[in-house]
Amino acid sequence: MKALKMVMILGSILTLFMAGCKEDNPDNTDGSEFDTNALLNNYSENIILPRYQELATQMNLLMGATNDFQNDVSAANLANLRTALLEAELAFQPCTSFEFGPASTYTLRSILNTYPTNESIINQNISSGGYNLYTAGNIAAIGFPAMEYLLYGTNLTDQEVLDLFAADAEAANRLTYLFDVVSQSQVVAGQVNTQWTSGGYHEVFVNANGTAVGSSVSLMMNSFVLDFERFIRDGKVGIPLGVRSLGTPNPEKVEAYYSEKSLALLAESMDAYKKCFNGVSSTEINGVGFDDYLIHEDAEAISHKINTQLDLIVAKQSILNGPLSEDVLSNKPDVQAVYDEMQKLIVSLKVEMPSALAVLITYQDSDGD
Amino acid sequence: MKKHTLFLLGAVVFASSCTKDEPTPEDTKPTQPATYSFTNVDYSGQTARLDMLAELTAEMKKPNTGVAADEAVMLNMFANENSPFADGTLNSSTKQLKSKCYDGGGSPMTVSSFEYYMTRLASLSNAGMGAWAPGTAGIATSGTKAYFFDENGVEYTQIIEKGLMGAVFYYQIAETYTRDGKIGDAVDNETVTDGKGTDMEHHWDEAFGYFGGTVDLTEANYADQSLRYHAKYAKKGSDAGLETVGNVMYQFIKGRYSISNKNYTDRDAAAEQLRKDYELIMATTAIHYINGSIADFGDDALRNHQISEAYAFVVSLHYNADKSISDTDLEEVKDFFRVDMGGHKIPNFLNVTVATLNQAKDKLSTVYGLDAVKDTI
Repeated sequence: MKALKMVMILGSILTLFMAGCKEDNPDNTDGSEFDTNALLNNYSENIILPRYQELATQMNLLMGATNDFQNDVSAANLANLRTALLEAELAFQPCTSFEFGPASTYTLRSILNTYPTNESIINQNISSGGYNLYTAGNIAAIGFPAMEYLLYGTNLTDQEVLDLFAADAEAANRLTYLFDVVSQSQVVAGQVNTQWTSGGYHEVFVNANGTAVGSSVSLMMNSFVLDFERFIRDGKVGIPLGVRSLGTPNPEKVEAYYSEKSLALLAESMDAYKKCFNGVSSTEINGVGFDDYLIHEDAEAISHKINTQLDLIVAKQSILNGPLSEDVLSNKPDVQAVYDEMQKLIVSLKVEMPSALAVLITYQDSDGD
Repeated sequence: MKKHTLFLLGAVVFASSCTKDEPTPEDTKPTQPATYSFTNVDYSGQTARLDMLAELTAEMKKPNTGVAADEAVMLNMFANENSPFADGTLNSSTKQLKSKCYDGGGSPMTVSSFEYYMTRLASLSNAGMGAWAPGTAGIATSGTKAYFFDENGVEYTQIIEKGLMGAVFYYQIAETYTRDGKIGDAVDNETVTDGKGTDMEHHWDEAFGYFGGTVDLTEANYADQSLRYHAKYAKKGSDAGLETVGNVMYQFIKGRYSISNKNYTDRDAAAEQLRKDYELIMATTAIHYINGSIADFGDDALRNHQISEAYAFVVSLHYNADKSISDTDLEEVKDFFRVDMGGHKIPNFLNVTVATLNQAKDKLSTVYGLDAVKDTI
């Protein structure tokens, strides 16, 4: 595998060199070299920072709605809190491709969105009232999935949910637990945002030029591809569909299982993913992205192929009725079709694009054990 | 490795400062061979033990796929009793892992620790192999990977396999085959046995045999070599620019070359430096897996698996009397991965946090001078 990677790298170096020869570059200046600095600046200023900012904002609103609910456990406040939770979950989707630097330091994804959640650990924590939400043993008892479990439960009426927070013997502990998990996610999302905005990581990011291992392009592309392969394809679709369980669907393993908003989150995620690939900002301004980098390296076909395939995935997923937890049982072929189109994207993302840009995909553990 | 060249540049300064015995012009480097290419080299006994551990590991991995592990098979493989191996030559061999395993006192894992884990792996997997959850032994999966953990997230397969790499392979190298009893001046270095060399040469070759490398292995070609055990994990340091593979191979070659040339000053220098360079394999690999467990913190399968690896490599640091880390510091690192059960401590990976994982990593990187590369190993 390593030998293959080497061949790919050497091949891409050769491609780069040849591309250089073809440029209108008679005076032999290095004018044909792609400006990764412009790319990094666009990603940081127009994509990553606004996305983290939005997440931090939504987390603050979620915290506010949680406080209101704590002060007055009412149907209206529950509805507001659920809306705020969905908004925060939606705001998180565009952030998942950047799990390096601050997000990696604070393990943003693990803290906010490890699913499926573990109901029994949550219930134990509520009963005991003593817990450290940052331990490995509690990783499946925190974040959005835990909040969903608390605010929706399984087959509960709204009144039954309200009773759990007001009339139940453990109502006070449950309110505290809700507050603690929301607070933890708010803190972590805030820390990541702060590191990028005023903590100096923006500068680190834009200055780590080139495409070598450890460069920002390498970190970002590895995270971008890993996000799609492991967390979008497998996590959101493949594992619930049963591709890792001999075809047996796992409806309880969908994202947003309790709120049944899996498809809305998937749609948001795919939209953000495509914008990220193309360097498009949240205000729809098309800046320098991976697509432009590919075009510059005479790999426009790869860029086109990725965009076409991303559109195909969205087309297939728009057919689904939802909730996804039911689709994987009653409408399996249509979910399979989404997965199949996702699968087709892998080779372009993981082999063709990195090869054309001379980036090494390093996230795969090659130990074999 | 070409692909790491750019990245390497940053690490070169550090690498030369941490490997205290960098080859100097006075060394035998100009004349010693670039590879372990000597005559009369035989380490078939070590190869047999490496093969035994491979079969034992395969048995231990059965619960990963929902097949219970067999206690008698594992214990027999450990002791080479009752012909447990698929490879018949191993059954008829007089070699075994157990008789070479550290069994002294102190805090490190001993023969009985390994047998305890084998027994418990069998009893837990025979009791059932449902989904793992904190507090419930079972199988956790991630992608195509599946691992069987105890109720505390500990993967016994890693504790035993990597632990035996420490308690047998590393221990034999550090405490037996690079010491006076095996290569001191009292050991015969005159009588050449065909195919095995002198006693002293043979003992050094036996140390090399435990490494799991190839005779052709160099820093330049390690990615293309078929490596096992510590040789395979030495790549983690080399990938980060530390030249771990090259440094260890250099000392192995230097020692054998010096013995064959009866240059005992260089032999002793090589033995001492080899232990230091070899120790770095444990330290770098432990840090590598701590980093991995942080990156995969939300993934039960990958987190527990990588912490199990890291913990076993940390424990392996014990098996060298000259280790660079103090007993106090080593116990402190281990404590990040253990809970006190009232008098005795057991590995428990449910209470780790990203913060404590970083503390363990920082302690190791400080002791081993790896601060500059600790985030990229």
